[in-house]
Amino acid sequence: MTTNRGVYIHIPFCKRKCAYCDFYSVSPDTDIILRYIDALCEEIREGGRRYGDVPVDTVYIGGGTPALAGERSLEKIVRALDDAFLLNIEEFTVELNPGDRNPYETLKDLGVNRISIGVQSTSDEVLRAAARRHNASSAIRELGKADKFFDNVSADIMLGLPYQTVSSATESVLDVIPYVKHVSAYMLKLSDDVPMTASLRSGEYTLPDEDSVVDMYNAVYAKLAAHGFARYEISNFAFRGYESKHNLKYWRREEYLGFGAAAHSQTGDSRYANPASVKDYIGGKRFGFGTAEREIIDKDGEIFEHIMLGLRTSEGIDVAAIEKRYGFDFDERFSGALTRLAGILAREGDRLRIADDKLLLESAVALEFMD
Amino acid sequence: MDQRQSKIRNFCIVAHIDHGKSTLADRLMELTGAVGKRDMKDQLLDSMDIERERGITIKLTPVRMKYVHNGEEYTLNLIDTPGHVDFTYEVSRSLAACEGAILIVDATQGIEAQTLTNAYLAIDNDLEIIPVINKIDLASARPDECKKEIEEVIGLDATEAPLISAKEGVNIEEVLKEVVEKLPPPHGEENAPLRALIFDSAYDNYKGAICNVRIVDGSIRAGTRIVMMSSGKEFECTEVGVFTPTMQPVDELKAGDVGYIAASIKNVKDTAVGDTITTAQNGAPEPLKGYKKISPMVFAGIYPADGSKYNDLRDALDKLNLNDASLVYEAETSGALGFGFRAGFLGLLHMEIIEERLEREFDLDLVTTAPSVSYMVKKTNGDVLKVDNPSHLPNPAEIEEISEPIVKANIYTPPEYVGSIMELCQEKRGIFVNLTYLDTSRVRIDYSIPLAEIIYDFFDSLKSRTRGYASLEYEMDGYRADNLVKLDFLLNGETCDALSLIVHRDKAYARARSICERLKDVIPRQMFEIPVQAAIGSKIIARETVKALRKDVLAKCYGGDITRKKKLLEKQKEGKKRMRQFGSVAIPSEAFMSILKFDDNE
Repeated sequence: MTTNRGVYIHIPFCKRKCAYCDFYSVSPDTDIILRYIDALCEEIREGGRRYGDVPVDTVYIGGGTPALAGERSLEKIVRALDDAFLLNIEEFTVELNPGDRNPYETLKDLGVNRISIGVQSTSDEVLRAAARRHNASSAIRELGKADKFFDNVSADIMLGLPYQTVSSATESVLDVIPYVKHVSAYMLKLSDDVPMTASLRSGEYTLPDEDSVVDMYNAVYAKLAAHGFARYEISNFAFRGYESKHNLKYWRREEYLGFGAAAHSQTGDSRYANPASVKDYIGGKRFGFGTAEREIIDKDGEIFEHIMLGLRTSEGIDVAAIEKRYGFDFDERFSGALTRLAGILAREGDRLRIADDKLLLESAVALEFMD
Repeated sequence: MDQRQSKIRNFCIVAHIDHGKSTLADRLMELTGAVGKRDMKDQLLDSMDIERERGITIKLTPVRMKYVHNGEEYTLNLIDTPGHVDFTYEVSRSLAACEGAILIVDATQGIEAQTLTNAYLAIDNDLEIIPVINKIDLASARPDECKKEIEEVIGLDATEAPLISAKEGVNIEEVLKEVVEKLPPPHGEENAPLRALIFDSAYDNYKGAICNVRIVDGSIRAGTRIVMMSSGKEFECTEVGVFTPTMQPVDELKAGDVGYIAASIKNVKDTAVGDTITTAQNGAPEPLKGYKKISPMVFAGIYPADGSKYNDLRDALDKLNLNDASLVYEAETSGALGFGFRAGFLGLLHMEIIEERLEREFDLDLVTTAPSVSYMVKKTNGDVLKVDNPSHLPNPAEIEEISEPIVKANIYTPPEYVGSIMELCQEKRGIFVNLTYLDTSRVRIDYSIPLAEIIYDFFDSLKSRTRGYASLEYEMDGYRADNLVKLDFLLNGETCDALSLIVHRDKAYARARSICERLKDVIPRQMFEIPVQAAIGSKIIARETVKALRKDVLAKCYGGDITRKKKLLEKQKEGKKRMRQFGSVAIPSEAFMSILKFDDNE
C-alpha cells in the first residue's frame, strides 16, 4: 500500500529514568547528543534516498526527552526531514515533560502542531514513587503553557502506579481535561529490569491489584466520555478529529519509518529495529546501512498483525479489506476463534471489533487468532 | 545333608525405611568382593534412579557373594526385597526364596512400624532371623535399648546381635559370620524333579524375559525344555546363570541355588512372579505353594499433556511393560483429554512410580486422572459390568446395584492408638472384624474396608494418627454393594468426563463442595465467567464460579514495537498449550490431579 508514511524519531536521553520505564534512554552529555543528532540526520537523509518516493504526513518525535536535544538540534532534524522527504504534514507531535525548558515558540515555528505531555498523575505521592521529575502543580502549569501555544495537546496518564487509587486516577484526568483534546491512559506494565520492580520485590511499596486497575480504567473512561472524549483505542481518548493520526498508523498496520537508536520501521514486508545503543548507533549500526535487525513478515504474519493491532481500536478491523488484500475467506479460516469469542467480538457489516466492555481482553482475544 | 547345599546361604535384608538396608547390602558386596570398590556407587542394588532417590526398592536385584569362613568357601545369595505395601506379594515371594533374613534396626530409632511388619512377614515365611543393630556410630545410638525392644516386642534373642555401622563399614564381617553360622542352609532334593520359584522377572533385549529363580528341588541347564506350571506354557531353556551382580552364565543351577533362567520368552507376562518352573518331561506333580495371579487394584487415565504425543506414550508404556508385568493398560478416549490410556496398577505407589518413569525415562508430560478402583455394576436388565473408569458408569436408571472391591485390612499398632485407628476406619466406611492383643505392646485390628477408601489417603492418615507406629497390610476380599453414586463435574455447563468419580452418597456433598472449590482455584480466569458445578445425575449439588478475566493487555505497541508484542503473545500461547481445551474452557493439567487431594481440608 502506498498511503503516506509516518516518521518516528527517537531521542533517547533522559535526565533521570522513571522508575517504571523500559524505553531505551541514556543520561545526556552535550557532546554525545550532538554526535547523535548528526547520525540521526544522516540516517534521515539515507532514509529519504531509499524511501523518499512516498510523502510523509505524520511526524512524531518521542523519547526519552526530546527537549533535551535543544532547539538547534530540533531545527536540524526538521531540516533533514524536509531535505529527505516530501513533507505533506498533517500531524507533527513532540513529546514533552513538565518542568523542562520546553521551546514552544520554536516548535511552533518548525511546524509542530501537536504536543504530548507526560503528566502520568497529578498526585505528588504517586509521582514521587514513580520517580518523575515533576510534581502536580508543575504538570498543570506545563499543560497551561502548551495550551497557550497549541490547539492540539495530549496528556499521558498512567494507571496502576504505586499509591494510586480510583479517586486519585480520576482526579488526575479531571485535572488535565481543561487543557487537552486528547488523553492517553496506559495501564502500567512492568518489565523485570526496571527499578520499580526491584522496589516492589524489596517491599518498599505495592501495586494496586488487577481489579483496582480495571476499576481505575473504567472510572477514567467514564469521566472522559462524560467530557466528550471518545475512546478510539484501548488507551487513547480524543475529541472527534483529534485522534492521533501517527499512532493510528501503527494500529492500522500502515507504513512508518523510525529513525534513531531503538527505533522501529515498517515498510513493505519488513520490519527493522535499530540497535538500542547510542554508541552503536553513532558508530553506524542503523537502518539504511544494512545493519539494523530485520524481520520479514510473511502473509500469515501480516494477517495476524492486522487482527492483533486492529482489534485494539474501536473501529476494529475491516474484514472485507483484509479478505480482498490477502485472498482468503476470513470467517472460514478463523471459524474456531470466532466461535470461541462469541459475545466478546462485535460484528457490524464488514467491521469486526471487540465489544466495548471487553476491550481490555485484547491480548487474550488476539491469542485466539494465533495459529 | 548334602555337602554342596551346606555351603549355601540364601537370605534377604528387611528393615524399616531409612534404617540402612541398601547401605548394608553395599558393604556386604564390597567386603566379599562381589563388586570392586571402584565400581561401587552407593546403593548398588537400587538400580533405578527413582529407587535411589526415594530410598526405596522396586525391582528385586539378587546378588551372589563368596565368603570364606573357617577355611570353607560359602556362597551367599542376597535377595533384596521391595519395601512397600503395594508390593507385598513380591516381598512374600522373595522371602519364600530365602531361608533366613537379616533384620536391621536403627540404633537411634529403635523398632518402627515397618520393622515389625517385615519381621512378622519373615516369621510367617518360616525364616530364621538375625537381628542387626545399625548406625552405632551416631551419638544418639542406644544399642542396649534396641536389643531390649527386639526381645520384648518381636521376641527374638538379640544378645548376640552385631552392632554395626553400615555407613562407616564397622563390624560388617560380624554380619557375614552370623549369616554363615546362624542361618540354615537350603535342603532341597537335588534328584527330585525340578521346582524353581520365580521371585522376579525382567526383560533383556537379547535374551528375552529373564526369570529370577530360587531352585527349590532338582536342577536345570541350557537345553532343558521347561514349563510354567500356572499356564502350562513350554519354553526351551537357553541359558542359566547367577548374579555377580551382573548376569554370569553357569552350566547348571541346582537345588538351593539362586540365579536366572533365560528361555527366549518374548513376553514378561509369561514369567509370573510366584509361578513354579519345572521340566516338560518328568516334571514335578505339584507346584510350590503360594502362587497368586496378581491383578491391578488401582486404575487411572494417563494422557499425554500434548495430544500429539499419543504414540510416544504408547511406545513408552510398551517398553515399561516389558519389565513390569503388573502394569496393564488399554487405549481409551476422553472428551476432555483426547486419546490416552486407562492403566491398572498394584497400588498408588506403583502408579506414582510408573508416572515418574514415563516422565523421566521417556521425557513425557502427562495428565493423569484421579485413581479409581474397579466396580462391579449390576444393571436392571441383569447384565453385570466391570467399570474401572467412572465416566463409563451406565445411566443411574439402568443400575440396580454397584459393588466395590473390599479389602481385609490388618493393622498392627501399639495399644494407645487403637481408639484413633478405629475412628479412622469408621470414617473410611470400614466394618470392624476383630481386635487381638498380640502381647502387651502390640495389637492387631482387623477391618473390612472398601479399597477405594484405602487407595486415597488411608495410609497417610494412619501414619499421621499413630506417629508412624501403626502398619497396614491388606488383601483383596471380594466385593460389597453400597450406596455409591457417580459424581460429575461440569465446566461451563458441560460434563468433564475426566473429572468424574464414584463416591458414597453420604460423602458426595462434602466432596463435591471441596473439589469445586479446588477447581475454582486452579482454573485461571478466562474471558468468560465459568460455572464449576458438581452433579449427581442431573441434580446439581455444588457450585463455584471462576470469575471472568477483566484485563489482559500486554503492551502498548508504542513506537511500533510490534515484534516484541508478538513475542509476548507467543509466550502466552506456549503457556496455553500446556492447558487442555475443553469446549471454551482451558483447563490446566493440575486440575485433574486436584481431585486426588480431596481429603486435605475435609
